[in-house]
Parts: sequence; structure tokens; C-alpha cells
Amino acid sequence: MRIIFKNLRTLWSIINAINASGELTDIIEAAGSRLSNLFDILAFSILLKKDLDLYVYCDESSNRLFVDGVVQNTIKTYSFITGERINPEKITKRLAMRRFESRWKGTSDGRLKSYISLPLINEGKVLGCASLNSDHTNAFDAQALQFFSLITYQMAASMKHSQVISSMKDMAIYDSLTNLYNRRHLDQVLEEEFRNATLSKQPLAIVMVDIDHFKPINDHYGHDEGDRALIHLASILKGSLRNYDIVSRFGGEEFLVILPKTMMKDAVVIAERIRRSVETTPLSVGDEKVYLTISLGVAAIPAILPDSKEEFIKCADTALYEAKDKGRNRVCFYVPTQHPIAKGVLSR
Amino acid sequence: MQKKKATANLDLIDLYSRLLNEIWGKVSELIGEGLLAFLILLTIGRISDKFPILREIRVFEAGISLETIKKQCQDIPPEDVHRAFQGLVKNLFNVFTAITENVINRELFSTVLPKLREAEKMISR
Repeated sequence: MRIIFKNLRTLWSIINAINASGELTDIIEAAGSRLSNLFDILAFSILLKKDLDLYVYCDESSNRLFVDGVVQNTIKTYSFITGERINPEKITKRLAMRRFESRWKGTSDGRLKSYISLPLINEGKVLGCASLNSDHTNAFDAQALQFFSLITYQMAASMKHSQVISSMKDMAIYDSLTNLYNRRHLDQVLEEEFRNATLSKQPLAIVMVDIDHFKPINDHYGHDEGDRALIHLASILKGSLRNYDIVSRFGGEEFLVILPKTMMKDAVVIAERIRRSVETTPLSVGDEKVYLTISLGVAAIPAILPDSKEEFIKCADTALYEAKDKGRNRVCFYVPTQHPIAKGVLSR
Repeated sequence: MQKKKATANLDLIDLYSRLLNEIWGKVSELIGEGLLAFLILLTIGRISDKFPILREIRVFEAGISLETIKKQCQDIPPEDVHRAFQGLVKNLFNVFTAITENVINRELFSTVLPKLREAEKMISR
């Protein structure tokens, strides 16, 4: 009786830990680091449908043969349940070696001998598959199955909850059409970058980008093609930047690029590279190839020292309007010495 | 003749209804109704091309209902009805084996085997 109560207490603490975890990896860690307190296992494994991530928590005494057996068996069971053929090369394996509390004192040849593998189901949909793995035969009984099914039920519910929260966060951050950051997130990021640059006296550049003659594109080809033009430009912008640069949809057909730790001359080079890339990369509209062009306005600290991020944006915007005035498809940069509306123009 | 076939089918379906609901009772205690319902529907989905009659099985939180099949099976030979349910039970056992080795099946053998034998007897009569 005492053992049953102890097991129920352990089960309760595992479920609580899973329930208290917000992020997907925390949910897996909550289970992976505690299940050996309840089950006589040498490994816990979980394969997730999303991104095909395979997590294996192993006791540090387990050998390569055992781990390979766990990996293969988890994939096999997952495939059986989902009916999907899995290419093992597409699976990202994450192995964590831990010291498990082991209650079984028998001898073993270190191979996988028994398992329980339950699908993680939420609202009738498979989220993945979780397995208890042992190196001796018949390691699991009906009670172990009952306990593990409660744990996997809680894991599936928490994972679904985490996915919902994560997608809500994404909705708050990303523009749904282009998948770039949205204006609200841009404001937060730029505020932070602006403060950092000002305090640490580091350079910071921004580039305002606008598609030339966007309205005629919409009018001539329709709004669906207009949307495709925005996605096309978003993709070029993402592909033209360094991994620490930030690009966002500013609104309509305007985009704003933040270039941290970048001086004006380098920002202009990047802006010109983007302009050329857009100019030479056609957008397919039916059988037609449409060549878009863009105008860009660059502003940079310390070439200017704006009082606020709003003023900083205004400077980039002023340079952008200058590029439009000069005939479009060009990069202009804001120069403070020729204030108030002073600018440099980089010719096509 | 037609009436005899219909009666035989109803008896057979009653037997399988009791069997499936006993499986439901025992296995749902082990893995919960939600997961069990998923596994039963998965199994039916995989063999329903071979045994279309199984598509009429209804799975609820309270158990399994074969009432729709009862209404539709009058023209089907009892042997075919038996084969369809036999296929379902066999494939369900395979699914249980794939996920828990023998943990679930151990709990079921004593219930399932006598009823399958009873069904065989009904057919051979």
C-alpha cells in the first residue's frame, strides 16, 4: 500500500511538472528528467510530428546499441501509428544522458528488450509518440501502462496548449502575409536597438523600402498578384540580409530594415545590393515575367543623431521620398549637413 | 431463408457488440477513452476497404455501438459479418501489440478468446 501511495505521489508530481511547463522543450524535459522516478526504464524517447524532432533521455549506463534500438523502435512505432514513412535522415535527434534512478538489479546485455509506446493525441490529432524503454523483458505491467497513459495525456494537452500560445505570439509578432515582423514588433525592436546604439555609441542604420508603382500592379494584375509581389519582395529582403539584420513590413508596400552595428557607407552598400537584386529577380505572373523596382531611403547613427526612433524613421522616410522624387529605383541617404531635407543620391 | 440469415446476423452482431464493449471497458481503464477511440478508428480505417461494413461502427465516449450495422446487415452472409469482426479484433490486437507489446493483450485474452470461439460455433451451426 505504501508503495502505491509513493507511486501516486510521484505520478502527481510528474503531471504537475508537465502542467507547469509552458514551452515545448520544458514539457519534454519535465517528463524526461522525472520518469525514471516512477518507471524502471533505461530511456524515455519522444518523436514529435512537428519538425520530426526526436528526444531521447537515456541513463548514463546505456550503451550505443541500446540507444540505437530506442531510436529505431520509436521511429517504427510512430510510423505504424501515423502510417507515415519516415526518412531517418530527416529526423533531428537530441540525446540527453542522465543518471536514472534504477530499481531493477538484474543482469542485462544492454539491448532494448521491452517498451511501451503511446501516441500523443489531442482532439483526435497525433502530435507525436512517446516511449518508455527498458533493457529487460516484460518490464512494464498494466499499472505502468495506466500511469504512462495519464502522463502522455497530460503531455499532449500541454503541448497543444503550448502550440496555441506560440501561434498567438507569432500572430502578435509576424505579418501574416509576408511572415516578416509586423509594425508593432518592429517598434519594440527598433526602440531597443535605438537605445542600445545611443547608450553604447554603436552605429545603427535603417533602410526604408517602398515598391515603385505598386498601385498600378494591383490595378493591372489584381490584389492577389499584388500580395504575391509583397511576398516576393519579402523573400528577396530576407535573402539579402545578414543573419542579425531585422526586416519588417512597415505597412502597405513599405518595409523597414534595421541594420545593427552598421555605418552609413555599409548600409548604403546593402541597400544598393537589395535594389539590384529586386530589379533583376522577376516575379512570374501567369506567363508573364514582371520586374519590380524599389526605392530605398537610408538613415544611420552616428551620421545623424536623432532624439528618438520616430525621428530616426522620419529621416529614412525623407531619404526614401527623395529617391522617389529623383525618379525611383534608387537608393538615397539622409545627410544632416544639408539639413533640413538633405540627402545623398546613389545613382542607378 | 432470408429471415434466418437476418436472425443469425443479429445474434452474431450482439455477440461482437458485447465483445467489443468488454474490450472497451478493459482497455479504456488502461489507456483512457480518447486514445482507445483513436486506436479503434485507426484500425477500422485501415481495414474498411476490405470490410466496408465496419465503417458503420460508432465509437462514443461511453463505448462502441453496432446499431447501425444491425439495420444494414440483413443481406450480408453471416460468414462475411463474422470475417469482418474477426478482422477487426485481430487488427486491434496487432495495434495493441505494436504500442504496448503484450501488456494490453494479456488483459484481454481471457475475455476475447471464448467469445471468438462462440462466434465460430454460431457460424458453423
